Amino acid sequence: MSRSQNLFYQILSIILASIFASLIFNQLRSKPLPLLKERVEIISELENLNIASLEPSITGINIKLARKLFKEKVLFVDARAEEYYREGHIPNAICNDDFDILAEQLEMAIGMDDPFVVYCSDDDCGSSEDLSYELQSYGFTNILLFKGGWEEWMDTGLPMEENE
Amino acid sequence: MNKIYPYMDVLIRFIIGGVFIWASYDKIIDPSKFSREISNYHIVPFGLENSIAIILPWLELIIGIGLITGIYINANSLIAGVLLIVFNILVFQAMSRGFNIECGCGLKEGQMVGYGKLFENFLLLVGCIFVFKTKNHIMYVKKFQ
Repeated sequence: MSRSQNLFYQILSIILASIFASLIFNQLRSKPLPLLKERVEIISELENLNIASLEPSITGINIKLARKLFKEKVLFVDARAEEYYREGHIPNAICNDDFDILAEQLEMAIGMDDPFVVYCSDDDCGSSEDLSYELQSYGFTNILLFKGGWEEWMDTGLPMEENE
Repeated sequence: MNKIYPYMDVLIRFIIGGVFIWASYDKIIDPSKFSREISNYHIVPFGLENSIAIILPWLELIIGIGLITGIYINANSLIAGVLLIVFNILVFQAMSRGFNIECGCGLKEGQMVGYGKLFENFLLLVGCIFVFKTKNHIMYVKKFQ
């Protein structure tokens, strides 16, 4: 066997071993991760929200619903770093760099089954989704994810608050 | 100088192998988080983030073990090098699109994409090339070469 052929078979065996080991290990998890990612469904009506809240969920919401929930005094959680939060945030939103403190603040403010909205800077940031999953693991069951985030909120000209 | 090369080769293999094993650990433990970090790059189609998040950490782990134990050294250093090039392309495209995201590298909690990451990957890539080019490896499993 030539050197390049030998190298090819070695690479192939390393890749196949990785695929095999990873799939086996994933299946042995208590909750295997599906091979294809399910997208967070984005809703725009409160009626849909009530249906979604029947079981533990993370539901995406658009700006229209975020505004409506804000008017209904639903709690907002800012997933950005406190540094950015202090520069400007959705009024009455809470924020803390320490996850445990944030979860305790949430627990004191609302029940585990009450809805609340999580947001970060914009559609690309990802920290709101990370925080939502962490809060779901903590025990909160009705999490609403405002993907448009702070940028869309500002672009729409909605009220803001500063904590300098 | 030639006498030093095999020892340098072992040292570099241990460093790269250690980095790959370390990087794989958190991702193997929590593939969901890694999948979300991959999503933040906005480049993977068809919801394949999960498949990548499941398989890639194991590839990193096997490469790391291979380099340290001296199994399939050339193949492992070649795959590691290709991966590092792909990682740098991903980091660079995220930077040029203005994404201020966590790199999802698994080495340091909260490490963001940036020139520091590009440089770090580049250094590891140079190490991979050195290992791949080294002819007289020492500390290896003869049966698996």
